[in-house]
Amino acid sequence: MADLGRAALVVSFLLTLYAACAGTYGALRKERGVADSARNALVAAFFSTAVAAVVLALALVNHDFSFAYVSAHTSRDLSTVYALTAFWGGQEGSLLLWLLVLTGYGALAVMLNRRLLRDLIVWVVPIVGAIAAFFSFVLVAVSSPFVTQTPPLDGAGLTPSLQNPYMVAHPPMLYLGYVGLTIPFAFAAAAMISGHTDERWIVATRRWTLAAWMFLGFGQILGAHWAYVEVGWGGYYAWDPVENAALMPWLAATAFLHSVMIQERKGMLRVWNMVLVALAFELAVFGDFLTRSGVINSIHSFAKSSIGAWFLGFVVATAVFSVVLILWRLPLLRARTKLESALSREATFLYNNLLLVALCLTVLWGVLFPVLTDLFLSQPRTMSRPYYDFFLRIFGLPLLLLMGIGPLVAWRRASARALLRTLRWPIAAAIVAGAALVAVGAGSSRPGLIAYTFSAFVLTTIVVELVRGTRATGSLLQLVGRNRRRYGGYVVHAAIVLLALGIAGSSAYQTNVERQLKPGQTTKVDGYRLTYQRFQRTPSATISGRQVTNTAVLGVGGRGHGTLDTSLVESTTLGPSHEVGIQTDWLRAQDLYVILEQQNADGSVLFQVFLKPLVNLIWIAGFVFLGGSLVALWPDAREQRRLVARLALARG
Amino acid sequence: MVALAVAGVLAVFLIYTAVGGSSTPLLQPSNLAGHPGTVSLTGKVVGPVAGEGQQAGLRFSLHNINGASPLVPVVFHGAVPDMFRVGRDVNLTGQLQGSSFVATSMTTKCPSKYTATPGT
Repeated sequence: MADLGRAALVVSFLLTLYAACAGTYGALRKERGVADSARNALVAAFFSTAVAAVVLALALVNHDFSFAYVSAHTSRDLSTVYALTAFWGGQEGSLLLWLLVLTGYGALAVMLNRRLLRDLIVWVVPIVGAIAAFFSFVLVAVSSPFVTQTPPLDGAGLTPSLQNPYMVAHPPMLYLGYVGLTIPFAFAAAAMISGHTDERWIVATRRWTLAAWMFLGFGQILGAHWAYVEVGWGGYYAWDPVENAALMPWLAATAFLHSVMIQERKGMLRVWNMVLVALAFELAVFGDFLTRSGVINSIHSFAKSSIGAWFLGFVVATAVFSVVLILWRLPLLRARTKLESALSREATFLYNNLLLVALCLTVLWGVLFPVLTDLFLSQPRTMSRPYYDFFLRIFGLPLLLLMGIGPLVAWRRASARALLRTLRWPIAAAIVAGAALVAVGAGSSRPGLIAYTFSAFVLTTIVVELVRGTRATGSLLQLVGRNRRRYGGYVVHAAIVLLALGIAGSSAYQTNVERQLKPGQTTKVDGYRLTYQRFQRTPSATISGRQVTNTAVLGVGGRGHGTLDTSLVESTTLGPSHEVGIQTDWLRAQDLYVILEQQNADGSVLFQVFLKPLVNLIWIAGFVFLGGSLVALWPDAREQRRLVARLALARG
Repeated sequence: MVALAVAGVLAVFLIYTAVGGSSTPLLQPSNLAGHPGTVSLTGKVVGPVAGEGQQAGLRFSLHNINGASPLVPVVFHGAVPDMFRVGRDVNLTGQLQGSSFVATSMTTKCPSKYTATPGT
């Protein structure tokens, strides 16, 4: 079986290499037959990669420990579902998933657009082919999932915190996002090489970018929720390099999604869009490199990672390729129109872009800081949480405000007076909300108060827009149906407001106390009455070792009710881990979150108690975001017609 | 416009560094000596592990993740993170006091790297 997998990957490598070389030749010489065969090779590469993927999946499900990969990432007692999640549990498997998604996306994008964008597709094929050839080469020669061995009795197993439903969905979601950003990049590069730099590549890839961005965004929320319920330190995002790895391309793609609207409408920002799409792609590859190479977590083990140097080379090579292309085509990318006023739709989109890119680059700077200081100073240094929090506020709060203003400003040139008139209700709502919040004591955190007030402002603008539009068309459904892109966008904006509220509430206004309780003792935390009722000790044995689950049961009174379990699991092989106890008050969207910190010899237990206001809005925001993205993504016949019209225009 | 934006970002950076939010040195047991003040220390946990996170503190030693290094005795005050055990790579924040490192925060290597056994 392993031989079949290995052979399939070699075939994938040869096919993608052929797609890259023959595709380039066919495009340069304008030989249609060669270009078509290169395209078919790319499609075939998806099927050969799928064969390799099926081989690995079967080996995982059947616990075939003659595969080194299977024995390194699973064990016999692992259920089928979690055995399958080990597919993306390790470096080799996740690279294979990357290649599978890449060839799948590539084949689909090429086949769907082969008629309307033929002049671009001839170049998209070799570009996607070359990128896929790199990944299949790494899979064949450097980091193969099909290395065999004498089968051991049992495998190493999967870390318990990863045996969680979230880990079934979160990593593949991120991969769908990361890899998806390749498609707009390939089309942009094809537009530049072919010299057909009209806006068709943007129209054709809008939905690809949107889908990738949706997966990346939703995947991150899933990851945050996993961290919150499973990792047990009381938070959901730690600015960890691996988390930032997904945030950075998402921010770049967010900027791109906004700025392409300006290019479509006004023919402006054409160079900028090329830069953004390249940046998003590079950050996606860099993100995978970051997650897999461990270059940041232990900067001294850089050389240890087998794929580190390859990936770094790939990132550098594609970055140089993009820069050269953009410089070469600079004359073609000149804007057709100029920015007329600093107060216009175009200008606010530009501010939004600058803020998003600034935030993205400051995160990148923080991530790279240990590596850069290690290279250029005598001593590596690291950026800690306050650095990221500071820049999230400095760039994030103005972004939040712009989200309310941007969609309502007139194109070209807006008058301040007209804008104020449009915004009179949102401004009034913000002032009222701000005053009310100060009255109830939310003034204790200035950033929190600003975030709340801005959120009230943005939400009101969205409501006002929906009401106005519904009045004009007569029905909300019709309104949204007529311009899915715009109203899907509003729903996504509403999701970002919920996210901002959740982040502000749970960080600026959280309560965190430690309480030591003996059995029967009661403590009060902000209206909750917690009684330490009893202690349970449950030993159990697994194939890999023994473990003891120590559970403390708390009675909850006051604002809450019932009981709350929180445990400390001690495993001989894996060390201690916490199972947090969470009770949600949906009316306040607030969580009571309790960690069993420590048991003492005298029978008392130390608890860490958090009250996290509005934290649940973050998870709700994830679903609203998904819904809004889907509305904007839904196929639209008019968009297809616009593409046809643009093709006619391009042909002149 | 772009120049203005770049200038703006640089200004924000300057404000940030001026306000005092700055970075901490990232060290390993082999180069910890001679760094007073708060630092970030990364290494591999070496037993025996004694005591508790609260009150007197959790005591263990730290060794470089790779290669030879002196053993640094560590006293940690705070919540012991998930997956803490001998042989794990950890990241500590704290200060060198006398010959031992007094840590106030500790994280074990991120589990989302999926490696069941670090270093393999």
